[in-house]
Amino acid sequence: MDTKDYIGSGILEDFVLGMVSEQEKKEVQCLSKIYPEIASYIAEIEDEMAGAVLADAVETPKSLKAKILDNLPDRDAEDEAPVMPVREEPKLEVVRDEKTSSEPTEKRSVFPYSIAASLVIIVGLGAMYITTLTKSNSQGEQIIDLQTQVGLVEQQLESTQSQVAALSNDLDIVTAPSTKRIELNSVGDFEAQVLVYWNPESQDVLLESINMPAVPEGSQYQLWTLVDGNPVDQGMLPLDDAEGLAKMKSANLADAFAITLEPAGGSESPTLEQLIVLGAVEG
Amino acid sequence: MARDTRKSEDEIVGMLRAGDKGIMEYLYDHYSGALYGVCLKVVQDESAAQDVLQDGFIKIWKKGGQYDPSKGKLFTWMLNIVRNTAIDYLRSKAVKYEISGNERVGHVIESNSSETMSTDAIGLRKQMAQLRKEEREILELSYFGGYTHDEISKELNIPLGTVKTRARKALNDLRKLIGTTGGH
Repeated sequence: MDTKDYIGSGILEDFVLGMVSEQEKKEVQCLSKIYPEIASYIAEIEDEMAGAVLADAVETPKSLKAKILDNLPDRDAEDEAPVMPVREEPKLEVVRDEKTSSEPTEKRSVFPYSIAASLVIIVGLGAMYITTLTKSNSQGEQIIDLQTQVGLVEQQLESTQSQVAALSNDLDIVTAPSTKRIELNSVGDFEAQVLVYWNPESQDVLLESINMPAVPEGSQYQLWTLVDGNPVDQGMLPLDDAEGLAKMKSANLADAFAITLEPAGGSESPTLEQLIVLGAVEG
Repeated sequence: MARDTRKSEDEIVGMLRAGDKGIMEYLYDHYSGALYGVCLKVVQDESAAQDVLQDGFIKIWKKGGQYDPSKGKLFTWMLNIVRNTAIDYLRSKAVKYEISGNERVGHVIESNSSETMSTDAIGLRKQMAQLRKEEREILELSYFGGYTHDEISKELNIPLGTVKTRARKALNDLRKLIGTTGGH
């Protein structure tokens, strides 16, 4: 990494002035631990700003000192200093697309966005990997520490790659011309919506939960297709509130898709009293 | 600034982390004036600034056990706590009186313009006054008004890229100005 460019970008001034996002803040703190020149540049600006702010001092009213010092509360247990100073390791976070909880718009750009984000992560991880390697050559005492980081980066890279593969597979299905997008809407006076992407040719069924009521303990949502009036099991919706799409059982025929609330693990035939959402296949 | 027994930063941090209340008097004696100046600048009202300063000192005390020197110098840390407290106050006031974003922006710009600035201002405020108007405006809004660049772009109807460029330029110019006249 070219630290000169980074130092010249102005982000360190923003950092000292407290004008950066949480993400940027972590980034700067992490980089300043790796690069001494960044740390010393930050110290330099801190001194300058402190000097400038101290020069702007305004005398406080005489009575304020006692009022403030006499009224300091006791510290709570969680305010106490940690016994061992925790050294913060650089954190790698996998960015996921945010799920919209309500009012889905007609064109949802959720998939290309996920992939773009994943690619950014891959490029970022690659860059970190390279800088990490370079650093371990030059600074002996940090080698072990950095090797751990490299291992971590490799793991992250691997999982990100498989995530991207899964996402692009999903994207292929969603964007295929023959794929139908079916909106399953609430059948009661509660809000609920699910999107199903079904490709009759490949028989793939993908499901995206837009807004579903919380599942009671011991129950689970089950997807069905209706073929000539007969329900066919399409599998259980994942219990955890996973991001993105869930892959369901293949379907070669369907007049409609429906979701019912069933005992955990599912039922052989749907409990129609517990029908939650329903959507007919057009054409 | 009554005491001349200066403590080292390590000593101060040690006492603060250990929960030694005595250190708060030392911090008050050395830094309350500077921090009060920032409170006044942000909230523009003496009584409110004193309340904000008190809240700030409570936070410094309570968070002091968790202060991590590797993440920044003590004064910068204190300054940001106090400044954020002041900005939170400003925001809650704006919500309470339903002051719109535009009015708030106007308020910050007006009260911080060089014409109304007191002549004995030295330090940061004076240096800011020497910046070009459009650069100063953005720095004032983000540092003393607590606006994100995105909000400034919307309120002043300037493209986000321009806001960022001006903010960078303003900060660079400001550093040059501070550098030439000397901080300490």
